[in-house]
Amino acid sequence: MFVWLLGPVRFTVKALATHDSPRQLALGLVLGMVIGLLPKGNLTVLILGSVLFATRVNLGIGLAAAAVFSWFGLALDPFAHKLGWIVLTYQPLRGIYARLYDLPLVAWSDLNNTVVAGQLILGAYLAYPAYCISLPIFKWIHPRVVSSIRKYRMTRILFGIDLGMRWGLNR
Amino acid sequence: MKRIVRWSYVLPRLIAVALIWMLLEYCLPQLLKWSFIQSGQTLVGAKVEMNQVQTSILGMRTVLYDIAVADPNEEFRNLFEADDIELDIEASSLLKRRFVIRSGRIRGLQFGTRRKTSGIIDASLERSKPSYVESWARRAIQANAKQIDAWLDDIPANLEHNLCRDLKSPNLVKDFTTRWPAEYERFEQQARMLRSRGKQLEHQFRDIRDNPLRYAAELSNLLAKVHALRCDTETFISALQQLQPQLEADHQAIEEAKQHDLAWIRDRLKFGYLEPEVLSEYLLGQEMAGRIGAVVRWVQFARHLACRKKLEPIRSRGSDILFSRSQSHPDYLIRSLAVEGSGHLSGHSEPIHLVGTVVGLTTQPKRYGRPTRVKLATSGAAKIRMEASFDRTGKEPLDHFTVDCRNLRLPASTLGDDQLLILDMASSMARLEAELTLRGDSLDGTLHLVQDQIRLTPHVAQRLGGQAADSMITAGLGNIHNISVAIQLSGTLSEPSWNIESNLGSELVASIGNMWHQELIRRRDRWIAQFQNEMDSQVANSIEQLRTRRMALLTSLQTDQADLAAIVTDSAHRAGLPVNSLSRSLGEWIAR
Repeated sequence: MFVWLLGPVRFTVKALATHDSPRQLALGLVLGMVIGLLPKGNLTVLILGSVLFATRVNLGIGLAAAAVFSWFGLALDPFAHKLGWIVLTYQPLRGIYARLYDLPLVAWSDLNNTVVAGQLILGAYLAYPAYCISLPIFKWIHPRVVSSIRKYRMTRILFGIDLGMRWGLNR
Repeated sequence: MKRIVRWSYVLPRLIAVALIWMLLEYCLPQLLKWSFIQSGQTLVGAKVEMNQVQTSILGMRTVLYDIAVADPNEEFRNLFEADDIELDIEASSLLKRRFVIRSGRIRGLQFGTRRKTSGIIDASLERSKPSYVESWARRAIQANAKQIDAWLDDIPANLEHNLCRDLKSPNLVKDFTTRWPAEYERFEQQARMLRSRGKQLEHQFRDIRDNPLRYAAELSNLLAKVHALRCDTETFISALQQLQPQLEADHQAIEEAKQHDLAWIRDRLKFGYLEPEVLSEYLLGQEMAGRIGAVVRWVQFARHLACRKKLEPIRSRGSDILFSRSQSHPDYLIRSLAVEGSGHLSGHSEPIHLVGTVVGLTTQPKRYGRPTRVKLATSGAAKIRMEASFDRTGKEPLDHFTVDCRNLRLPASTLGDDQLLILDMASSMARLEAELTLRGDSLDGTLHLVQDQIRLTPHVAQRLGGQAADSMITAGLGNIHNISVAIQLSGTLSEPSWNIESNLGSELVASIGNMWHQELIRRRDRWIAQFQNEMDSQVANSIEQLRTRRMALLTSLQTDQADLAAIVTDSAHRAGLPVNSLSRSLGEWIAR
C-alpha cells in the first residue's frame, strides 16, 4: 500500500534521474507535446498515446509534456482552427482527403476537425525544432540532475523501492 | 526492433485487450440494457422495461427481449410491448464512425396492453389535461344544443299541452253560453211581472163587472192601468226584439274568432326546421372529437419519437469539414426495421396480425436527405393499411399519413347528450379512410368513416317528451341503415379544428321531420275537427235554446194580452162605453 502511494513521487524522480539517454528524453518531450496540443477523445491521440507508452522514450517527460502542452493547446486553438481550415479546405487535396476519410477507422481520428488537423500540423511542425532544442538541453542538464538528485537519501530509498519491486519484494 | 519496442509494456496490454474483449462480450449486454432503458425513458417520458439483452460483438448483432414501453398518459397501460427486437449492426459503418442498423426486426408487437405496475416515472409530473380537441367539442355541442332544444320542443305531444291557453274562441263561446241565458232570464222575469200585472187587471175588471156601483168610478182608472201595461209590454217586446241583432253580432264574433283560431292552429302546428349539420355536429361531435383526439395524440407521439430534433453537438474546438457526399451519412441510422406483431382491436374477438417496415429512421434527417417512411398492414379480424412519411429534409417538417381500415368493427357507442337527445348505437362494421398532411404545425386532412348495418335507439330527455318522443323518433330512425361521416381537419396540431359532414343529421332531420309532419297533420286535423264541432254545437245549442225561450215569452205575452183585451171589451159593453174605439185600440195592440 505504501509502495503504491509512493508511486507518483517515484515516477517523477525516475523521469528526471533514470539512465535514459537525452535522446529518449527529447523524444518523450516531443511526443508529449504533440499529444498535449491535440484535443482528446479521438483515435489520433489514442495512437500517439500508444506510441508513447509502447516505445522506449521517457514516459515521465512525455506525460509531463502532455499535461503542460494541453494548456498551451487551448490557447493555440484559434490559430490551429485557422490553420486546419486552410489545410482541410485546400481544394486540390479534397479528393485525397475524401478517399482517406472513407478508409476504415479514419473517421475515428477526427482529422477532419479543423483544430485536430491544425494542432497535429502545428505539433508536427514544432516536433523537429523541439527535438533539436531539447536534446542539447537534456544532454547538459541530465547528468547534473541525476548526480544531484542521487545525493538525496530519499531518492536512494525510492530507487531501492523500485529495485525491490522489480525483484518482487512488494509481494 | 527488440531495442525500440518495449515488449514488457506491449505484451501485458495485448493480453489486457483480449481480456477486455471477453469481458465486453458478457458486460456489454448489461451496459446496453441500461443505456436503452435510460434513453427510452428520456424519449417517452414513462417506464421502459426489458428482460434481457444479448449482443455479439463479432456477429454485430443485438437482441432485446420482452420490451414494454409504458404509456406516459395512462398509469397502468403500455404504449406497446414486443417479444423481441433484433438489430443487425453494419460493421463497415461502425469503422466509419457511423452507427447504422442494416436491418432490424420487431416481433410480437402489441399495442395498449395492460400493466400490473405503474408506468409513471415521476408521479409529481403533471399528467395530460383534457385536450384542446375535447374542450372544443364540448363548446361546439353546447352551441348547437339550443337549436336542437327548440327543435325537439316542437314535438306534437308537448305542443298540444300548451295550445289551448293561446286560443280566443273558447273564451268567447264560454262567455256566450253564460251571458245570453242570464240575459234571457232577466227578460223572462220582466215578462212574468207583466203577466202578473195583466192578471191583476183581469181580476179587477171582473170585480167591477160584477159590482155596477163601483163600475163607473173604477173603469177609467183601470183603463189607465191597461194603457200603462200596454206601453210597458210594447217597451218589453221592443227590447226583446233588439236582442236579436246583438245575439247575431256575438255569434258572428265567435265565428270570426274561430276562423282566426283555426288559422293560428294551422300556422302554429308546423314542425320547425333544423340545419342537418347542427344535428350531425351535436350527435357526432363528442364521438368524433374522441377519435380526432386519438389520431392527434398518435401523430404527436409519432412525431416526437420518429423525428425528434437532434441537437447537433456544438464543438468548442473547431469545426468538422465534410469532404465528400459519402461523409454526409447520418451518424445514427436504422436503414430498415421490420415490424411483426399481433393485437386485439376493441370490438373484435379475433386478433389482428400486424406486419410492416420502418425505413430511414435517423437522428440527422437533413444529412440523410430522405424522409422516414413507415408502412404497416394488418390481416385477420380487420384489414388496416397505414403509411406515414416524416420528411425533415426541407425548411419545415412535412409529415403525411394515410390510413385505410376495412372490416373495422366499432364498439357500441352513445351519441349526443342526456340533457337533450341520446342515440345508442349498437356495434357496427365500419370503413375508415384518413389522409393527413402536416406542414410545420399546420394540419390539413380528411377523415371519412362509413358505418354499415347500424341500429340506433333514441332517448329523449323527459322534459322534451320522454318515451312518447322516443317512440316517434324510433319510427323515423328505421330508414337509417348507414352513417357516413366526412371530417375536414384544419388548424394546427396543438389546436385542430374540424368540420363534420354526415348523412346522419340530414337523414335524421328528414325522416324524423317527415314522420313528425305526418303525425302533426293527423293530430292537427283531428284536433281542428274536434274543436270546430265542439264550438259549433255549443253555439248552436245555445242559440236554439234562446230562440225557444224568446218564442215562449212572446206567445205567453200574446195570450195574456188577448185574455185581458176580451175582459176589457166585455166590461166596456156593459158600461156602455165606446167599445168600438176601445176595442179597436186594444185590438191593434193585441194584434201587434
